[in-house]
Amino acid sequence: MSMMRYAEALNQALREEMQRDPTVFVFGEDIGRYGGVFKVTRGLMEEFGEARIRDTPISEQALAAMAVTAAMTGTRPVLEIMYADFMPLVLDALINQASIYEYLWKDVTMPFVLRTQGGAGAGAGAQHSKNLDALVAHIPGIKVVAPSTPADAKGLLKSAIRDNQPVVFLEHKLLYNMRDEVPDDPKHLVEIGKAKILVEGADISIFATSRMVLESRKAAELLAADGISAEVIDLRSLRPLDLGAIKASIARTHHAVVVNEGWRFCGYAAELSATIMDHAFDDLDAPVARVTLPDMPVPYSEPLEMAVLPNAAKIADAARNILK
Amino acid sequence: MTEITVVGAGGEYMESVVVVEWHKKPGERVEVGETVVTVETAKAATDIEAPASGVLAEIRAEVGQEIEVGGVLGIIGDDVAAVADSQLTAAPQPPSISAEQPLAPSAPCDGGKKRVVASPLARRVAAQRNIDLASVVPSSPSGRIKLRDLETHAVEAPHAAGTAAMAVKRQGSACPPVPASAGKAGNLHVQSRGNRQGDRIVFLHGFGSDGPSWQPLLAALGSGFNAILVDLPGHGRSPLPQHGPSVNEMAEAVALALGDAGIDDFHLIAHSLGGAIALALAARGRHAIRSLTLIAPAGLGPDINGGFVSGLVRATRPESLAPWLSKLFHDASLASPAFVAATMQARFDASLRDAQTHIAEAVFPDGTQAADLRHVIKGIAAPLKIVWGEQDRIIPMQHALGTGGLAALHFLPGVGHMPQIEAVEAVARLVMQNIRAAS
Repeated sequence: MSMMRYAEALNQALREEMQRDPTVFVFGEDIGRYGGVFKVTRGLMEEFGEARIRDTPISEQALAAMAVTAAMTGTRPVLEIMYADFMPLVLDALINQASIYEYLWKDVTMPFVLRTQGGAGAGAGAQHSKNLDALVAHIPGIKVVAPSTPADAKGLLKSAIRDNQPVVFLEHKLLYNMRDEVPDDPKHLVEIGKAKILVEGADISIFATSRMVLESRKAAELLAADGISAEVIDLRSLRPLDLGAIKASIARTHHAVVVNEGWRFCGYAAELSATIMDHAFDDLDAPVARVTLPDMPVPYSEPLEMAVLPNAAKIADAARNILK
Repeated sequence: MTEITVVGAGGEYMESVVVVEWHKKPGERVEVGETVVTVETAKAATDIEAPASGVLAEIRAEVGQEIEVGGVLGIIGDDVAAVADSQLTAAPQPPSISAEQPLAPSAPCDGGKKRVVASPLARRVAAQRNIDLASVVPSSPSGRIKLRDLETHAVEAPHAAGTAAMAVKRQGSACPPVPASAGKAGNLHVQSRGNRQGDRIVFLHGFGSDGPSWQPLLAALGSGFNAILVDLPGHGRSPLPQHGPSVNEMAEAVALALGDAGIDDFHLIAHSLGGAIALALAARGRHAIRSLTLIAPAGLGPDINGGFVSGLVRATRPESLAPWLSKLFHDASLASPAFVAATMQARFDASLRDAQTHIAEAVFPDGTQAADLRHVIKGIAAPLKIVWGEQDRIIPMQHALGTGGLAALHFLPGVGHMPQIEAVEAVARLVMQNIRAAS
């Protein structure tokens, strides 16, 4: 185990997979000489050269099409899209190409990873603070993961690179500097589609991904002070979803709060809530509570941004409310 | 017209049944011998057959309503009257039952007509346990019945009569109070046994118990004494309090009951919760208490086995009661199936268990003894003994050490929370020492 930042864990995952498999290459805006705006690809161009670490022009649409065709023709591309806010520009490649070619043509695999980062809380304004996970999780044939810890970031990115389906890998700008233990073993993989119980609890289950996992853990501490035992589950993978873990947790607690940093209407929390109803209705002792961003752009003003973001206090309130 | 009555459904000891289902609607034709209504007793559901052919003219007992054995469930009218009632063009007829009187008012709180709002889990569990959700009162501000409401309700189908009775009671102001409990408030059930000329001993039992539970000690003490067995509020045959009374309020109720019976001069023996009440009674100074023997008393410290208390009040069947009762004794075999069955029998009434739940919440909130009566000890001039089992798993015997050296302490090895059963000879001997010391 080594202590390292989330960004360093991603860097290590890329390095290990590029060393292991010569067909893996990384491309995107400012990822080579500059090392990426969040320094995830720092030092990789020096080690692997300009052919495998490629700086590109600013054209997300072209980059996504490149990823699709490169994946179809025998390589394992890793594309970095600098901000999740630009995901609408790559949706055509995901919705009309990457996600369906396997269905249309025989013997086609689509082993590419699209890394991007989203989320608010950094004063980045309405065009650089979005969580658009629902947009990609909506697409059948695309896997979507959103790790909350450095160890999961490394293990999931390695699994994503080795996966033969397209994987959208969602990072969060406020997680890059988070330091934690990360396994040194290059064989450390985290299986896509497996949730993790971070805090065991008996009274209520809180489901979250990415940075909202951290807020959920804080919420569990707030609730513990009230004598409420909250279970915190890091879903890690938005699609496929770990239904078994969700059902087992609700069978224990009979109450669920789902937390998502994205919009509420047609958001990921709505999907999660409906899934819980589909599969655990008879175990529910109260309606599922959703904690999300309101349906509005993320404000630039810091006090306003803090006011609209889901946080530990709001999660704890939602939990107390359904436990009444 | 013919009355449909509750006949033969109640069994020997049942006084009432609950209507489960009507198989006919008013106005529908019924044939003699056809099942017209199903009622439920403590033992089973019973179909009641139409006593005559005709038309169901009136339902007097709605689904969920409790009705005494012998009471009228409904009326079967003759065909002509019913037809006349439904045909405006018909010539004037002698008024039928339904035309003559308005339909009998339905159940006092017509909960059965409204959709019951309950969580999916509560619905599932209620179905499994045969609990009628219409009789469950939600505790959540949402008005939705949750699982916890079933836990406190905790009544199964065999106790349906009790369920209905309790449901009516719980409706509070919306429904008239149950007449059965009216007029008894404050009057505890007190019985006198033994030689009325002998030394008088008042016995206060523990939580969840009752006066007759002193029988083994009474036998060991012999018949020379006059034993006064008090059923505490919410216990035995005493009235069920509307809210959870405190130790002091229960002591006041005991004081009133003794006063009513003209008992003001006595020896006092008290166990567990009764011990705390005995101390509160002594603090009042209204009686001449000759000697005081406290057995594993409450009131001398904060600890109590909260799991035992809540497990005891929750238990609705011998299987769930037995594990808790075995904690009373050092020798768990003393909680024999017969003992468990007898205890369950005494706790059969759901409203009694409900009352005791409120008492437990009041005197042992969150598994803690709310009343600290240690200060009372130094005001007691009479001989005072505290008897405790060393293996007590309900209240720790160390509480006896907080009495400041002013009580004689007797720790009995190999004995649990029930020395008066587990070491009855030793307890009888200590009681007699105390009584002799006083005279």
